Amino acid sequence: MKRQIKRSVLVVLLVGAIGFVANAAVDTSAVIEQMSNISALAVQAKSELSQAAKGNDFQAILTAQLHVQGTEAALKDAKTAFASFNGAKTEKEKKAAMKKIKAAYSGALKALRKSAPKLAPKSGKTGSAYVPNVTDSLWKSESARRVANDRFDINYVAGGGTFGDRDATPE
Amino acid sequence: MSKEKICLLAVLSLVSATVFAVNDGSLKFQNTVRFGYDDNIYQAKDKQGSASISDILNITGKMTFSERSELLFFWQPEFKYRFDADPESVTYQDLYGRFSHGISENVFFQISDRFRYQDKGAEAGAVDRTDENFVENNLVGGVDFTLSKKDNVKLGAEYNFRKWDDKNYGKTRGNDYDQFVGNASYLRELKPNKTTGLIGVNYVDQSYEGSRGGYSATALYLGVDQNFTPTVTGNFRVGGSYSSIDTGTTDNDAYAPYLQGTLLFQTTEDTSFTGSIGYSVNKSENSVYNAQDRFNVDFGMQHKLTGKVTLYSTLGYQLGLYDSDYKRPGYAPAISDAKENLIRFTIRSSYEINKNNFVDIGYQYVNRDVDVSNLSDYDRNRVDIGWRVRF
Repeated sequence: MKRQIKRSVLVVLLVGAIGFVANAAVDTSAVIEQMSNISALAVQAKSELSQAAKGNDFQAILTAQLHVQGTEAALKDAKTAFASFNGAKTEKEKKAAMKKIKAAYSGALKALRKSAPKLAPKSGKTGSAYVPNVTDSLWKSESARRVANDRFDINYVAGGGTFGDRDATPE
Repeated sequence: MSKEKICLLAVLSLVSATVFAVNDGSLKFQNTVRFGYDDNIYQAKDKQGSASISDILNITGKMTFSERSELLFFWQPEFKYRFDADPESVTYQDLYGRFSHGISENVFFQISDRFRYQDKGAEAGAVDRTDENFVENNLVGGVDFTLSKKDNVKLGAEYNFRKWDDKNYGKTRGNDYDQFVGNASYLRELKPNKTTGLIGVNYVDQSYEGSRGGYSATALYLGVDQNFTPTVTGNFRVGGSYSSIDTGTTDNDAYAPYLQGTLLFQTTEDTSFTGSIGYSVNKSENSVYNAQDRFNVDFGMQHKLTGKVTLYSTLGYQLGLYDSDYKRPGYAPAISDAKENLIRFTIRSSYEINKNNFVDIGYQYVNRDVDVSNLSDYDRNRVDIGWRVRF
């Protein structure tokens, strides 16, 4: 009987130990996975910024910058929490660190969903800084306005404008 | 108070009423002095040439009141003295103001006004041009509603007019005009930063002074804005335009395709090309017809040859189709269905002496071929060299 009790206690302790180790192992892999997810989101935001810069779309650049700032801030928080996790001596401290990493991940996701507050349609590149495109209209699409402004630049400087735009003559 | 004075006040109000709230601003000056020669100053079949000297001043100001509000103003007076012409002096004035404001994160508003004035007295020669002074105004307003990350609605309206000083030409012969334009479009982003589709409607109502009539046209169109690559962008609109031409005595209904396409190609930092093509109903630019079906195509190029020399060139062609149904009352041109062909080629080079000083040299060729007896065929060559200073 005594031997049976001892065996049972041993089994319980063993199962508990396995459970504890397994539980700790799951936490570590989950933490590493979360960290890698946050890093991926930060990289994604940087790539988005690089694409926006190539596309010459100021509004998209602003939004992408917002995404980069948000994901970088989340990554910084996550790194601090990860350091705490590694240095944690108690389960409670580990859980608290894990919670912070999860919050950082949510923060990064939330940052990626943000759009920059659309600025008032600035004159931006509307003709040169010295001669704005006086034919600009807000009711044209953004893309059409950009192209029209570039065309205005060339046509105006080349001395053209449109037919009849200068020197109107009665007939 | 006359309409012209009201519009001038509108521009000045746009500029001055909000000046006190400025957070940040900039002011740019540019002055160009040009010596030139024009071999056909009257744009007539029988050429008469003249050398000229002109001064063109550009003053551009930009004022920012907050992150969401901005005012831009622009004034360009041009004074030209022609040595062998009548009149010798000509003045052009361009006054422009534009106010942009973000009402909220999703609603944006812009209003602009452009006022133009041409001071050019009666011309001598065979052409019937007793007085060429006119004022012209374009008042343009637009609102952009962002419905979602992908959806936008844009609404716009314009009110344009031109008034000639010569009452006989402007009022009696009905060449003064008023024009109203309304536009609405729905845009949806189909592929982020790549493709936007749109559906739109554009309405134009133009009426000439007196009993001359005018025209109204409603164009319905589908469109695509496409970023083919980071360096190639295109805008295309295809649809149909239903118009009613008021010839003063009858209303003639007409249908014409509506086509607009533009392409911008920036090959490198130093080189870019543009091209456009269009077909639509437009106002007439002469006294004989009230409207025209206009086809136009043009190409433009800008290339930095060296760090200091830049080359600009454009080539444009415009075909005006004047249907007999577009004819105004009281005129009987020999050909009922007439055509007007216009070709223009321009090349200009700019040499940067230093950050503030430039030397510009330019050449322009224009050719007009028209089969309306009242209108004149001509070709015109112009050259100029100028000094441009800016700061």
